[in-house]
Amino acid sequence: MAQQVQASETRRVNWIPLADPNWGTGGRIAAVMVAAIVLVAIFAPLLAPYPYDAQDIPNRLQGPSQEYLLGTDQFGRDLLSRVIYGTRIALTTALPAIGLALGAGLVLGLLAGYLGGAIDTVIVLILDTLQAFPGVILALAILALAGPSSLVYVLGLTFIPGYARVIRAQVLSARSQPYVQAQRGLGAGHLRILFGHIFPNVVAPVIVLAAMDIPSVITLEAGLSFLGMGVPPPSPSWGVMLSEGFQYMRQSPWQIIWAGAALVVTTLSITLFGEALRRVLDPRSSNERGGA
Amino acid sequence: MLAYITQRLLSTVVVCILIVVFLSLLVHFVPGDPATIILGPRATPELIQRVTESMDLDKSPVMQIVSFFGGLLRGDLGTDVFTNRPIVDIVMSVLPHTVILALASLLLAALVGVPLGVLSAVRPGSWADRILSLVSVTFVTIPPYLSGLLLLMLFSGTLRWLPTFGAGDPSQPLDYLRHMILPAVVLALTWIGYIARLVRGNLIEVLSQDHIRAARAQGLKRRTLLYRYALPNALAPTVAILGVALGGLMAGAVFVEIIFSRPGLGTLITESIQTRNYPVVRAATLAAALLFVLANFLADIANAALDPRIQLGKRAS
Amino acid sequence: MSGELLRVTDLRVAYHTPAGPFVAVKGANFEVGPGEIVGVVGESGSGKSTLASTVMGLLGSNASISGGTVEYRGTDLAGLDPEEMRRLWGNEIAMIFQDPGTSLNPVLTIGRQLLTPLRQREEMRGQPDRVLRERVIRILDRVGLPDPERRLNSYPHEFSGGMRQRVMIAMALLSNPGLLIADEPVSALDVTLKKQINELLLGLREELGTAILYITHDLGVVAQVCDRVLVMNEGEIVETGDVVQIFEDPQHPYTRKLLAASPAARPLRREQPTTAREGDREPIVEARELRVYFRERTSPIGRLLRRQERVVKAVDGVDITIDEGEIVALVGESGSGKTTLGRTILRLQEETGGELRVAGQEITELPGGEVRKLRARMQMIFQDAVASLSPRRRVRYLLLEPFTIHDVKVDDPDAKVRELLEMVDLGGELANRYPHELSGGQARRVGIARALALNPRLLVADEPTAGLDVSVGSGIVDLLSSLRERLGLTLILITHDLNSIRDMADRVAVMNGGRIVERGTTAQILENPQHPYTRELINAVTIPDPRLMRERIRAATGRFEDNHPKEN
Repeated sequence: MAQQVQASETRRVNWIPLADPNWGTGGRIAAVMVAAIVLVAIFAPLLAPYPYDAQDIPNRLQGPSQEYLLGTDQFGRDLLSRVIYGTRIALTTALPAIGLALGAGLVLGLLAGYLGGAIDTVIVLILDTLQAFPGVILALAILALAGPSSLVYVLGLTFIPGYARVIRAQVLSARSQPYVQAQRGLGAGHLRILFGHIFPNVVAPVIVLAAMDIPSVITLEAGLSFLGMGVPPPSPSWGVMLSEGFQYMRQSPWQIIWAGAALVVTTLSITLFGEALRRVLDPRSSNERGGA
Repeated sequence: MLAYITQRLLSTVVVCILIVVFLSLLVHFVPGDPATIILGPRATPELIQRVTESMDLDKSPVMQIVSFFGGLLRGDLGTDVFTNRPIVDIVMSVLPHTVILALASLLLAALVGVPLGVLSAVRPGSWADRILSLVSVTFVTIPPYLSGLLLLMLFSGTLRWLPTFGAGDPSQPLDYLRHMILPAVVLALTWIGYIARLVRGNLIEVLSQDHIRAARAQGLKRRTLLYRYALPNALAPTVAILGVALGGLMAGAVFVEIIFSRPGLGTLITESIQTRNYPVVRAATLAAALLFVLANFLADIANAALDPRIQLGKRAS
Repeated sequence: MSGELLRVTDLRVAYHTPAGPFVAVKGANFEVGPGEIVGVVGESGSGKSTLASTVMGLLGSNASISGGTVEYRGTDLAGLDPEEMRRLWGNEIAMIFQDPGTSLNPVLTIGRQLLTPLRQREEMRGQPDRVLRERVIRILDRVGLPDPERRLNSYPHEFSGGMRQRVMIAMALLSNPGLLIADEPVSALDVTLKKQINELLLGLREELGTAILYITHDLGVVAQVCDRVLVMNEGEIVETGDVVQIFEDPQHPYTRKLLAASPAARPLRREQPTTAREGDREPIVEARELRVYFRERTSPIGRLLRRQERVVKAVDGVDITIDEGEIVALVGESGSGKTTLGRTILRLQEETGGELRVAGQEITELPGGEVRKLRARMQMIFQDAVASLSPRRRVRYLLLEPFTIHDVKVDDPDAKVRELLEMVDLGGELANRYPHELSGGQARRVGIARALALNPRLLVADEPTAGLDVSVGSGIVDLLSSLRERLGLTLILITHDLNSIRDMADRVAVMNGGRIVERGTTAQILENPQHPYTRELINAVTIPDPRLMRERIRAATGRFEDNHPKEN
């Protein structure tokens, strides 16, 4: 007993600096990768050798060279610079979209789960309806009307039901726990129970979910941009780059390769980071451990 | 079981009605004049007139819902203002291509994903398991448009074994099938990884449960234990996910159809968006949603058939 | 083949933990003879379950035998390959587990779960299905499952807990094993079911000559079924002996301590309560015709489909008066409505009808805000102590929260926390722990301290000792008794275990099916029960007195055998 207690106390103290064994080697590598990706996005103007829209028509569709490390696209723009700026676009659309989904999902989920009854039924029906559309298709239908400027909102909207459901389920399970009963028995009001006791238990799984969803949002954004319904050119969204690479596929494969690689490395890093984060925040759910 | 099916059927119908309501009103959620939103600022007055009439935009929102719903029940969603063909015909002519593609990918994903999941769950932590895990994570992260582009480059350039353009001739099953291989593989990749991970996780959990230990203590053969006792427990939740997977596959089909120039819902939707043909976009979206809801309904029923506890009224959501 | 069936010599078992090996069994030596029932008794962490798993060969991958041997009929089990082990499991050694709810496969019918292992027996090869089915049906009938032929197609969740344990036993006995390992087989069951299952095991031993290694924490159960006893403490077998000798002439200090801590060893409360009858003094709780019904929860759509809703009458017309300063026990089995009644008195559960007055005030019509204020005066201690403490808050926060909720100013919070912890005999260092870092007994004490923070007049304690080791549980009982003396509390004890309240309660109300079937002083109820249900309940209670328990069992087994004539 005494040993166990000590172990869990030490864990609490030092999980942030990656010392927790639950991170695993893979998790630590992923964490470093994620940090690197964020830094690239922040310092894109310093890191990129050229502006992302600087054209060099004579040198169009080149392979990697001394001058252009990753080659050039159909307007002779530097692919390295575009990939670097693309990181910025990916994160600046994905993060607000997740924030939006998280906020709205939190409100809906807490309301539905805690109040129950007719409010719950209505909210669940709305979520059921939103989830009845395959994600990309719902996004396309709305973007067709509202235009590309609404991209972040549309991305957020398609992810709201996921959060609302997880939070609702967490609240429902917490609500039937003895400790919530005990709070009622002490005379605690709804707000105190909801925010003082249920909410702290909902936070960890939601953070993990958000980390795991960022790759999905990035992928969806790039996909919509690929279809011409997302970030408009000349912004170097990886999806735009893939779409342009698709048009000039026969002349040069490099645009597809680099944009694709950036997309996969980013989403893979964040996914592995999210899984490690789940192991660290909730060491009990360790049935995925063998895989890392 | 019958009560469970009826209950699920009723809530499915309710969701279908809500889908129709949502799609009828969607245009009003965007601020501005509906006809202008749909057609863009440069539309001719005559075109605006025709769209307004065909979508009942001059009537009250309630009437729009009623007429859209009535039209759906009659199988008449109006006439396309550009081609003068009935919109239902346009959607129905491409729908089978998408459905067949999605189902083929689903089958492929399940046939490959389940054995992979079982394989790595039997020896968790082994090298085979680690490699499979990494591969499946990678598969999950590569979006269909990327794997589609890469395979397209490979097969239209270096390898020329398989056709990369169009859907082939539907009257010649073999040709149609050959055209479907690459798109189906591309779509299935994501879900192979997903299903393998899901089966692995579920199976590892089931194998650690008391009843497996108890069954082992009865001297059952290892194979019996794994395939007859543990796997049915692990597959029930996997089957429930297949409904969701079909939705994901239809969404992925949008990209695959464009990359491999196949007719289908995805091509129809993107082309119609480019021509600002919203009534067709709306009808195609409706078709996708209704199919998805149907798939989820069937998956829930299959799940209940596999896990007798679900009929007690608990939904596995 | 003469002599012992099982011989364990110098057995050592270690768990591999990140902090190094942890030795759970430290050199065990014992034998089990054919047809003998040997009890292994000990508190949690004593290594008794590890011992059972080791003998069975079912140790997890994180544990291993680090020394000694387990021999079955002279064969060292360590020398067997997996295939030989498997054959042994199927035919010679069988095991039943604590929780029949999780030990059966939820998605297979019990028919399949019984037939599959039978089909894999060598001697069953080539037998037609009909023969196997008949055999399964015969065994199910033997273990007392009604209508076995029809129930072959049922799934485990369609059975009650007791019936599931019968199915488990049937599975274990399919092959007439020489040795049955029973790991806490009745711990999850109600008292009357406990008795029935133990009777069944004894009857089967008589009939089939199966030896049983019986693992339990419950001394009463040991007295009921065992011939010989091994007492385990911290991985060591501290005492071995005949069951009568162990109970009547214990040698080792630990055995003595264990016996002394058993609730049945406590003297019966005989002093005439100040209130011999209900309502003698100022009543603090008065319930009249109190009813609490639960409707089966259905979705709106489900409600449309089913015309009739199933209504569970948890509390069905209860009259009870509880006077200031007394201790009243509500006793009953699960589903009797005792917990619901307790919760309703505290307004944690809405009543369906009837009257309820607390401290003279009718509270059924009270608005929410008023009820909340009332909560300062009446508190509950929950059954699952760890779960009743908010998992992400430290003890300090939890203990101070009642004051925040009711706007009571605390001058020196640290002193207050220390004072509250001291009141329940806990050290101040626990203040910074999280609930999951507390032991079961500590969590229970923190729950009590929190309940007492605002000096309530009424305390409802739901199964205050359930799930605790005997010594820890007796500590909690002592604590509650002393607090009652010191603070003049009125206490409602909810329990399934008549023994646990024998020296505490002034009065007892026995509940069955939502009604109070009998009430009286503790001595009256325990010594001279009137209602047949009370008698059955008392008869089923296990007490650490092997002579008495055997007498009872003998009477019952005789009856049992009359009902089930021996098979040809």
